Amino acid sequence: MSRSRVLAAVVALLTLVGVLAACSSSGGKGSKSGTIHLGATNVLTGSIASVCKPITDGAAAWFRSVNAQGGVKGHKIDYKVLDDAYDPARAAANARKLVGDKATALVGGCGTANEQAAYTISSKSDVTLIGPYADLPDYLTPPTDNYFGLFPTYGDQDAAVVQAGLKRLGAGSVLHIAQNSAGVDKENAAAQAATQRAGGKWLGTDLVDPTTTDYTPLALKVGAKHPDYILISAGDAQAAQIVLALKSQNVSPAKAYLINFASTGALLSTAGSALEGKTVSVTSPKLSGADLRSCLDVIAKYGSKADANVHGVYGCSVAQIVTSALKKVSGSVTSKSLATALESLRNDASAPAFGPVSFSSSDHAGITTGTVYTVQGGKFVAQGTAPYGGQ
Amino acid sequence: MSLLVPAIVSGISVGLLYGLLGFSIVTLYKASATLSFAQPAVGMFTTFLAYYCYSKLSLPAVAAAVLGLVVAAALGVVLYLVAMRPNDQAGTANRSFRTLALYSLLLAIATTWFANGQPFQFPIPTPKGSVSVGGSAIPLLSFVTLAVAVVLCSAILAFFRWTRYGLLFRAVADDREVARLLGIRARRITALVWVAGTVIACIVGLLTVPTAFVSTDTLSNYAIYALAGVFLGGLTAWTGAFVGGLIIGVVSNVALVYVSQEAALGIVFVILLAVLTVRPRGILGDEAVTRV
Amino acid sequence: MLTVPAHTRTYWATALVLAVLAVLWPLLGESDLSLVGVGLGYAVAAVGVDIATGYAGQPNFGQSAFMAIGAYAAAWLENSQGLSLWQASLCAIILCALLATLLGLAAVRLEHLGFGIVTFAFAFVAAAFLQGGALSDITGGPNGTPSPAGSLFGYDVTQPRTLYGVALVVLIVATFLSHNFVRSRAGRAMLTVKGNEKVAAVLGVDATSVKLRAFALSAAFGGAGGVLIAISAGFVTPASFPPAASVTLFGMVALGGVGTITGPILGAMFFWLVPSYAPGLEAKQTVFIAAVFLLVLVVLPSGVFGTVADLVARRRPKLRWARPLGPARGQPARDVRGDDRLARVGERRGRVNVNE
Repeated sequence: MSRSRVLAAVVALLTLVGVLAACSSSGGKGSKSGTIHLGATNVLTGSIASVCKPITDGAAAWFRSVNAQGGVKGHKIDYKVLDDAYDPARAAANARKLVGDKATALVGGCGTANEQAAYTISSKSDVTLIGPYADLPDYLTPPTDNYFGLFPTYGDQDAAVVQAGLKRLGAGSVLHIAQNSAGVDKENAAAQAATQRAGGKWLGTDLVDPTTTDYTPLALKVGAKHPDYILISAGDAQAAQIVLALKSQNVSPAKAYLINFASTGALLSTAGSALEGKTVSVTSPKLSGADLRSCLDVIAKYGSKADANVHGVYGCSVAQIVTSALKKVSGSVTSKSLATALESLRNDASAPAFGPVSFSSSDHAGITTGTVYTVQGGKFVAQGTAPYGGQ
Repeated sequence: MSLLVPAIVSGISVGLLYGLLGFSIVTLYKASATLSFAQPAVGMFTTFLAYYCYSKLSLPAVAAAVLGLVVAAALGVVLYLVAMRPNDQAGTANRSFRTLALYSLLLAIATTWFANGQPFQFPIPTPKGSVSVGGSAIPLLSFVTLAVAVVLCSAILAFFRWTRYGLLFRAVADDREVARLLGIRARRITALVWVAGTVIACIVGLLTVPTAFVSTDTLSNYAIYALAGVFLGGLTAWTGAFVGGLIIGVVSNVALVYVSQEAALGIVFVILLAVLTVRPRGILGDEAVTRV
Repeated sequence: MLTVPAHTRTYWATALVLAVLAVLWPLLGESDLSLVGVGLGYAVAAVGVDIATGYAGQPNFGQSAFMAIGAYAAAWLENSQGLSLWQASLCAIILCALLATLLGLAAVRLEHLGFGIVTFAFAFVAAAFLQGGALSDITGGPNGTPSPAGSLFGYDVTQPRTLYGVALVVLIVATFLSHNFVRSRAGRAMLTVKGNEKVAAVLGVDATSVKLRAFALSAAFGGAGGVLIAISAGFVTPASFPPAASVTLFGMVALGGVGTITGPILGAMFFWLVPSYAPGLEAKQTVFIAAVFLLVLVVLPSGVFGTVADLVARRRPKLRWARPLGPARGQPARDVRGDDRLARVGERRGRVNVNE
């Protein structure tokens, strides 16, 4: 191999990278006039992708169904989803790309750290972030112009389930087992406040790390405190292991488990026996019932089977709300006009899985009620509603 | 203080699993001179394969688990042929790095194609319930793990020490070139070693299924503890992995109960550093130079 | 494969790569600049891994920890202690070097993989402490903390174009320092004796101090890369530099070529950019990257660039930019200018096995 050939090969390789980069930056602007550009940065690969990917898939399915019916006032929706693999640096780059490609809003997405990074970029260009599956209370109190939440904050979720549980089964001591993830300190404070408001006794929080190999030490610590209620803030996988570890050490809450997250069902199929008859949950969106039909049908038609779960329904419901707001926009669709339209929504019923959604100029947290569930016969059974956000 | 004994007992339970995983690493090291970082991922991957025998082939769970072990053996051969055999003159360091890449690859494959909807329930019949010993509950599963560990360790030890084949394995590990010159089919032997290592890792994975289900996350978390246990006990000692694993399990679980996760990991790290600096051969290792 | 000195004189290749990256600076759009800019940050860190792994024979599997520590330290120093961006970043980089020296004092006497294991464990421990409550006043715990930010000559460093320029300069400095370290007398002696302390002692080289310096330099580059990447992301969280990133960084180095400096830069750009720019890979990208990693180790242990440089060196031994410094594969020590003693050592030892 001659020197010049080697040089040529190296230059070619680098030029290829450079050309790819340059081409990608100039391409993608081909927008037909009137197309509404929406985007998202989501965790599409990696270990939490199985939770996160269905969210944007569900939204995409809904937007596809809207386009199939002619779009919003004749305008088609172009929804571009980029993968950030839960890396904040990639999420920031994705946000820059979407903003550069003239996205009106970022819709959906998942993961607190990366969506925070994306918001830092998008808000600088006044591009709205709507409904990521992430805990971002800092952007809601006070409400910022560029953020609309359709995911109740972890603190609100805790407060709702504590209140519902203590109301149903009486006052008692509450112990919190929480995954040590972003926002956990605010969440603890909210859970503690709610416990005290409901007349219960706050026993504190035991944090669990996602790298935990053995939950028995946790079970020992929890058992020593003899709680009436055990509030669990973790995903399906961790929650199931925690519950089983508690059971193996003969530890059980005297009154009930309080589950504050929307379970895909993996929790019940693995730890259902320990939860049977002893669980209260408050979640949004709904976990079952006719209200999920509109989304499940759309996902079946325009999405894939892997998305037909509570997370796909969440994404689809966010898209339903966004569509409803788009329909209300008078004039051209811009970030500002979309935000104004969102703020005009009052008890909007476009997303049956969410229930009524309301925004206002002083309140960008759209979800006001969750559904109360108990575990009976190995299934989540609806028992009415409970409010999010305070009393 | 009332939590101390239960904490130690729980540490022994999990330490057995660290030890078994470490044992698969030691087997590969002693019999093929390769320090394998891949074992946790291999265990996770083969557990998924066993689970698919149950869910896709609709076999009863026990049959699926057994079939899973057979599949694991086959996978061991595949892993050897694909990742280790080509260009196998490249040196011990390179072989070790390959196992690191193998870890990434198996984890990536499982996360991309197997993980959707996890964790999965794989109802291998194991004794449920526990035995109460002085205020702490020892799950019966731990006794099963102990039995498995004892049987496996004795079997492999006996094989290597007292059978002709075992001698061949050790010869290949000691000096590949000389072994070849003596007519030993080193490559065939090494393939068999990989079979053994993979099957042992699969057994570890199956043992974690009752408490941690089938998931891509489980065994990855064991990696650092198993490695620390291996070096603490001695990379060149057959039973070293168990001794080291037990100590690491107890120490980290007690730290978890009384302090925090960071403290547990920090202590494990200090132990590892201390062992490698002060007594690199580990507690039970041979005086001979560790080829690390 | 750990120490492959056959092509240390690759500075012309490095210069070419850096030139291309410089040319891209005015050409790319904002979002591409921010992506490639992060790639440059990883390239700096990868060069750091190469220094320790390829030249000193001490695989640094804990680079993610140093990247994280650099980023968090700079953020804290700037946000809470009121230092300027440059002061904070410099202090953070020095902190990384100091930490590495401390760790190295205990670990550097370990041979190859032992050192690798210790650094690997260090990655996990650091991640736990950065996420946990013990240091949460500084790190923000699982919430993370806002990244360092600031301006250079009036240009806001969080702007992609400015950050790209800064990152490029840092990379140039890093490669310059690396080549200097490798070319220094001690560095070259280190290479030629391939990390064998006894022979090094005979020749009057303090192997331990060289290894420590290499590791400290490696960690410093990691810290610098971490700061750059954090500035781009806007936030530093435990998710920014997980222990798995250490393995990926090693993969970048292995792909490019251990011990080549240029190789790791190319490897870093490839691993980082492929998921974003390769159409159709999408969900399979992690599998693709891991497969490439394994393939390189099996088929091209010297890495892509390393193999290319090897081929060039063999065909044109007189070629200044690729002349082997020490014995090439399977050949007795050649005439190494001015280092007759080392050459004779090589000859007496006979066939030197580069592969170990």
